[in-house]
Amino acid sequence: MPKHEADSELLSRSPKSEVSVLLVDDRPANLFALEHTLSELGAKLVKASSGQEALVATLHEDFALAILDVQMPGMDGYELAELMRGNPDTMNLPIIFLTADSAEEWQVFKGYESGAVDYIVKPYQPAVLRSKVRVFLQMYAQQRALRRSQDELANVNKELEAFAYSVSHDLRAPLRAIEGFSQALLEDYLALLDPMGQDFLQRISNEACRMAQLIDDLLQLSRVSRVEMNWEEVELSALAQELLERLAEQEPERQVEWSIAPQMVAQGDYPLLRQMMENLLSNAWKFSRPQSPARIAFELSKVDGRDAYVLRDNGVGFDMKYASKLFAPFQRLHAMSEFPGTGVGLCTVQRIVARHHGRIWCQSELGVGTSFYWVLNQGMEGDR
Amino acid sequence: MSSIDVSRAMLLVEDNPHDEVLALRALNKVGLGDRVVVVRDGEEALEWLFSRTAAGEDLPAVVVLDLKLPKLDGLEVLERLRAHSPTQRLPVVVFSSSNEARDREASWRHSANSYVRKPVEYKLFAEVVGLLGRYWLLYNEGWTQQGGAP
Repeated sequence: MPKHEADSELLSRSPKSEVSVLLVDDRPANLFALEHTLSELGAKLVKASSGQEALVATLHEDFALAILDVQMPGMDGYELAELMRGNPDTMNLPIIFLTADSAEEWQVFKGYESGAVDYIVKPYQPAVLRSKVRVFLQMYAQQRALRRSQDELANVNKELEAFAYSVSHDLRAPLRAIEGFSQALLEDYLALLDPMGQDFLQRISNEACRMAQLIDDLLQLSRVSRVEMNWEEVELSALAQELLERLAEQEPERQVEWSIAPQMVAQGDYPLLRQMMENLLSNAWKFSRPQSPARIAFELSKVDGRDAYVLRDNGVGFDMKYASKLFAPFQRLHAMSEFPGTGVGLCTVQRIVARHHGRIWCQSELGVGTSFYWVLNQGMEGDR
Repeated sequence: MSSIDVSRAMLLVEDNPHDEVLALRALNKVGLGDRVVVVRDGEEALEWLFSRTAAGEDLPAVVVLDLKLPKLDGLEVLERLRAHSPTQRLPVVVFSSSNEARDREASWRHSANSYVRKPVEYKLFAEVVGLLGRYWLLYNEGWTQQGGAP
């Protein structure tokens, strides 16, 4: 789309670049009158005295609007409009027909249902024409601004993508060397190191692993915002069951009793919702470690008259005065030695909930347990 | 290199010298240290392999291929190997730091035989490299008449 590129290039140079309106009429006197009527709007007015001339003008310039006289010798206004509709560069160009015809007749033009078409029966009121044109100019300016933000957003996303890609490849390699050679020293030169030396090396190696985990979690966080969503029905009950079974397999020595309300479903993106459930359930699993048996419950609860999902555990809980920090990245409410983690998991959860037009909040009490509540697709029940 | 029976060896394509040392150390620990040839970028990998196919020499039992490589990256190498009939079915294991979906998808699209992520934790790294070596060099049955048999 060379035209589009040229346009955005022009825009980036001067954001207040002028807006052009195409005036087409075979009579010079009519063109002069139009020009006079519209001059105060501040748009650039390009005049054409035939359909052919108008088409040539559209090759050189992007227009916010075309005002076409219907009755012209040779190519009339409708034919010109048909040709412009057939060209990708001008197919969305709004058109005002100036016609002496009755209202029924002008509707023979096929493109009128597009909404970007209006008509005025001659003789017209200058003030009425001006205000119609003003509306189209405003619409054009808004569309242009929207397109510019979309372009910027697409660029930022592309940069973020490239950044994440490079992080994924390049940032882990040095950590592997740090961790790997620390381990190699511990294995091959153990006899030369006293216990303190061994402890130092083990610390180096542990921290390298932790940083690798941090990188992975950060990439996951950024991926959550970047990925395209595919909406489908996701069976949350079955998903929770699967994920809890998996956690139980990893730590068969733990006593964990769980209950899941049957047949809970959500509309959403499966990989994202799975990520959300994984993070929430592994938190519940982790922070209920001191309890035996630990209890985890996943069910629905009425909140303000609608169903919210709720995930409860009887874990260590936290002081609600820190609740505001819960979903911020790198915020941890427990000592690393007690409950390891990077502090990115809940931040990821919150972003996933936000991408599903939802809300998540939390109730907790130290030593009693924690409940996470969330709703998805707020205000969209009718649509989905 | 001349003493190696290439048909029973792994071609390791790795530009990071530390990863190379760590991988060789891991292969040594499972007794396969003398069954690996190392090349250090994508171009070298293709030259080495294509000169062998041109001369009718044995190909390795498996190629362990890093993705981020100077000159030609791993995906380009894989694509070129698949486009060249003598190496079309050469076993290639992609071995990369990345777990980006697009790397995995592209690798499978170009018919990689496996996609394995390089762990940071050395114990896991050594286990993975040792398993790959043992599987492809000791247990997998050869993929051509002359090459790849254990």
